[in-house]
Amino acid sequence: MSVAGGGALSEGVEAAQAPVDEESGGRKYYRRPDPIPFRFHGTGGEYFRIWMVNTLLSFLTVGLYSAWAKVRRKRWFYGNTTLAGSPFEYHAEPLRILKGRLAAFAFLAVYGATTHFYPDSENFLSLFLILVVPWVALKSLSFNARNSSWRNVRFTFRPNFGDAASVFVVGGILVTFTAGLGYPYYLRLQKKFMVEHTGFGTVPFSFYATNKEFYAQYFWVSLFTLAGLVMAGVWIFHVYPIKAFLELQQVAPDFFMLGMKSVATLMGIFGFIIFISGRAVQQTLISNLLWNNVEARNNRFESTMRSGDMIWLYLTNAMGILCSFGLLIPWARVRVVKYRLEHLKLLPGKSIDDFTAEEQAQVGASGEALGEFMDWEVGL
Amino acid sequence: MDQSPAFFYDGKSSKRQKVMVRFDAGGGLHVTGLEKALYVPWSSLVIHPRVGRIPRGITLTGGAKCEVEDNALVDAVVGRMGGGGLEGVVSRLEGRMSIALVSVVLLVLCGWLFLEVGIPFTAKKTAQALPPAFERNLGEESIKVLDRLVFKPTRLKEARQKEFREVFARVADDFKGSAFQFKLLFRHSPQLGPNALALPSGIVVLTDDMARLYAHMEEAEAVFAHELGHVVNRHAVRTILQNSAVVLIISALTGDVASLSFLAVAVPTMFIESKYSRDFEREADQQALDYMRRHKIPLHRFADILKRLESRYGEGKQHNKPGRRGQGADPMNYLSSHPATEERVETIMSAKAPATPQGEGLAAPGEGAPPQDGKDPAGAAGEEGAPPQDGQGPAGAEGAPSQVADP
Repeated sequence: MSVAGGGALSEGVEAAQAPVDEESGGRKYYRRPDPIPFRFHGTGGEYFRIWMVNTLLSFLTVGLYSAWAKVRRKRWFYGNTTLAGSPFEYHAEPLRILKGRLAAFAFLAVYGATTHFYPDSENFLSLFLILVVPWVALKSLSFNARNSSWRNVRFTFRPNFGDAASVFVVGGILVTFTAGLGYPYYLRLQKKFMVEHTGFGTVPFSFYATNKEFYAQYFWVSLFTLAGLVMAGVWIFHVYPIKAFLELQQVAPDFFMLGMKSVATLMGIFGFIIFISGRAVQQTLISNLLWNNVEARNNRFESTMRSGDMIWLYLTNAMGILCSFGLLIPWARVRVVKYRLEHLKLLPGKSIDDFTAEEQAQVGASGEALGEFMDWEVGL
Repeated sequence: MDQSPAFFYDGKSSKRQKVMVRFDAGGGLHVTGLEKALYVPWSSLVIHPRVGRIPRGITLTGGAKCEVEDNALVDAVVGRMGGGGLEGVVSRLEGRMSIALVSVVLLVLCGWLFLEVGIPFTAKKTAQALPPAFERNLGEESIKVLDRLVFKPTRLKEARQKEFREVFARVADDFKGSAFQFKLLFRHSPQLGPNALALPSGIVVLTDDMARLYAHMEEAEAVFAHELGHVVNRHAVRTILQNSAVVLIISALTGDVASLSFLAVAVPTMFIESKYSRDFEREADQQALDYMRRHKIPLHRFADILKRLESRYGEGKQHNKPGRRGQGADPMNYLSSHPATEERVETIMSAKAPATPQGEGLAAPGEGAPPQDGKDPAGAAGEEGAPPQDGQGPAGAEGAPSQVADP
């Protein structure tokens, strides 16, 4: 399929006939529109101001303002992300989120008190919690999706509780019994579930990645994790006790102790680097795998993040955050998001203009608070 | 005449149309450039809050939306028509870097105040309001766990045990009148080494290694007074409350950065929790000193046992070299759960002065204190015992009884 110069994007390509490539004498080629890159326009400085002011207000109001803080932060990230010149938008109402958070807090308090004063109830309540948490998480995904839009068309998330149960419960059991070997399989099931129940307007997404691909990516992640564990193991079991033993006996002269301490510290630092790198590699590989295999009515994505870049990003961010006592967190966050988005492109099918919106029912935010950690953004 | 280019989305499809928008004097919106000119009165408009420089959304009737780049224009209309509300104010605050920097300072100040005063005060009041059954429960559960994990039956001779029990009874008598049931238990623990733990319900555990370290029964008396000080001041519960609060707050503040702030959360949390632990140790020390004064026990007995522990089980002589005194606070000191031995000994010795008022005598942070990393099973901390500072980390709460229980 040749892409001869590409048609103007905003016009799209008519669905009816494939355009004719006249140079080849009348043979019909389907001319795909050019890839459309995502862009991020926000700066660290601007985010710093927003983050700082909102954090202070949350603190001064003992957390009551935090719902507004969260919505503003998300609005800023969404609004600065553009695709084909149009920004995304986050619509959640802070008041609903606040109510949800208060409900969650009350629930946890009651749970804590009940299990303490009536310890026998703990088993029963834990079971209840195990059932409630997934439901809450799904509600939260739903809430986030329905409050996200692009060009005024909202996303949708329609979980099937039966499907969810089979994925999470069965998957969880599988992973436990295979001592983690089943994790890539479980992850694929999980991503597939989340993607295929998500939609943009009336169009659902599809997911194509295979088990083999998941296992291939996890091979590299495992290498890193293993290296990190080995470093940590050596440090804990050999270097540290030797150091302690020598000190106790006061046998070793000062300079040797200094040497041992340096080795111990270096191993600690090295292990830490490996740990962070492992996370970076995991994020990159899985994210790429995810985006490259998602499709919505012939629109696909291209994710070109590189592990090396991400490792560098994560490590420099970690250093920056440590050295600045957390003040550089906003810049760190913006850097990662910017990198992520600038390596993501939409490969449009035909027209990006013809997605139709869904009928919107009112959505409650009760699930939002407890399931906050399962943010839509995590997928990005 | 405030006109501006904008984009229009009808809300039914993802089609985008270029339009011009204009607000009239009454705030009504005129949209031109569509097939049919559109007018929406102010009352039907929903103007999305401003956040930074992102394009401004305006929801029209029927679910349609306009998107305007020119935030200033929209702000002017909102200002004129009286709106904006809370988020409008916040948005203006966010606009200035000077405000952000002031926020940093304020946040640090409030944070420090909260951590230093607010949390400990609240924890103290809460602990006092909790029923004694709570702590009894905590203590009983703790001893069961400890017996399973680190304790073996004692090898101390019965006669010696009796001696300690008599001394203990004398000290316990002094603290009577509370809901606590004081009991002395003897255990042998290779992992904990010389140690005396106080559990919230009033149980004090003395390890064999510690029992062997005493040169005089009055030393044991001082240590018991310190331990019971932990109990009657409800340090275990206060530790749990304080540590949990700190974890919650720090997590909430840095919560939006997930993986990157792993360190930002863990490191300050460790420092803060160690500091709380040291504060409690100082409080227990004061309790011991008060007891000793009341019963005319020479204060140096307490200092003696501390010094003996330090020299036998401390980190090593090089850290006690005279040259190191007078140096600034060693960063490792801030990580330890106990104030440095030198600091405690100084407190004890300076407390001898009759003019020293009660509740003072807190020495400056230890100079050149030995690194107290606590993971060292051989008892790096050199106080009455080796704090089993197992990696509770930011989660803090569950392990609190054994952490606070250290003398």
